[in-house]
Amino acid sequence: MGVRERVRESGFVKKILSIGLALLASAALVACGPPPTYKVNYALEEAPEAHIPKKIVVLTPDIVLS
Amino acid sequence: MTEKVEEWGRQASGNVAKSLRTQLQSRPGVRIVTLPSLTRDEQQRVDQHRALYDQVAAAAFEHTMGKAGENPNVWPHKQSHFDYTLGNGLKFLKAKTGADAAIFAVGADQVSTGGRKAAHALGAIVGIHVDLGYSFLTIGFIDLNTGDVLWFDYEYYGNGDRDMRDAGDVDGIVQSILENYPGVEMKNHKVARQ
Repeated sequence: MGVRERVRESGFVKKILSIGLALLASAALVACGPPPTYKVNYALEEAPEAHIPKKIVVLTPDIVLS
Repeated sequence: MTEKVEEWGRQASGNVAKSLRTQLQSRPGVRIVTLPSLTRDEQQRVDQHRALYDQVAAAAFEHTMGKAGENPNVWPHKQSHFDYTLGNGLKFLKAKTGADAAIFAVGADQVSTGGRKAAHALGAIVGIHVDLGYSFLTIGFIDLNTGDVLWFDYEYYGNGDRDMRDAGDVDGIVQSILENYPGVEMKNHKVARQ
């Protein structure tokens, strides 16, 4: 199962929030700081100067539209 | 009923590639390298790694996103020691382009027809939910030397108000994903405060 199917079936998505939940989330954001939605490899975390890429190649994306 | 539309997919993929290049190029110290023409064998290897990224991204999504209370499948040790990798099969791209990293982008967009939108509006009146489609994009930075997934995030819109055929919509989605990149200082700051 690929990431598209996994996301659709998980029921766990970060951006589906009702207005009330969004307000609560905003309050929590102010109190606790931003949630770590992105994921950083430990190598990048430990030695960012050595691992943050300077030269990047963008490979052809795979976007499925229906 | 959903129907895959190849032409729309190509258009959306082009929008994503262009947006990634433009937005990253504008960052200080970042240089975007053009992908050279590849041999048939090299192209196959890239395609295989894109498919592998799809699977790895699915696992990373399932096991590292959210907290244990929100996501029953979360693995805390993977959150604290994010070590997903594709293996070093793309090393040839480093030799060929001089790039340190490659970006994989995988996503989907379900565009609603006029009939579905009308059904959604009608359903809202009588209390029946009609799904309006969704837009989803994941971006992964892959170390070309090791294959390690250096950075990973995604964006999901479940209300059908984005259309990835539209370059402006794609710019917004990509910007939203990249706003935390690389995010190391922010993450370390958060860890230090805990």
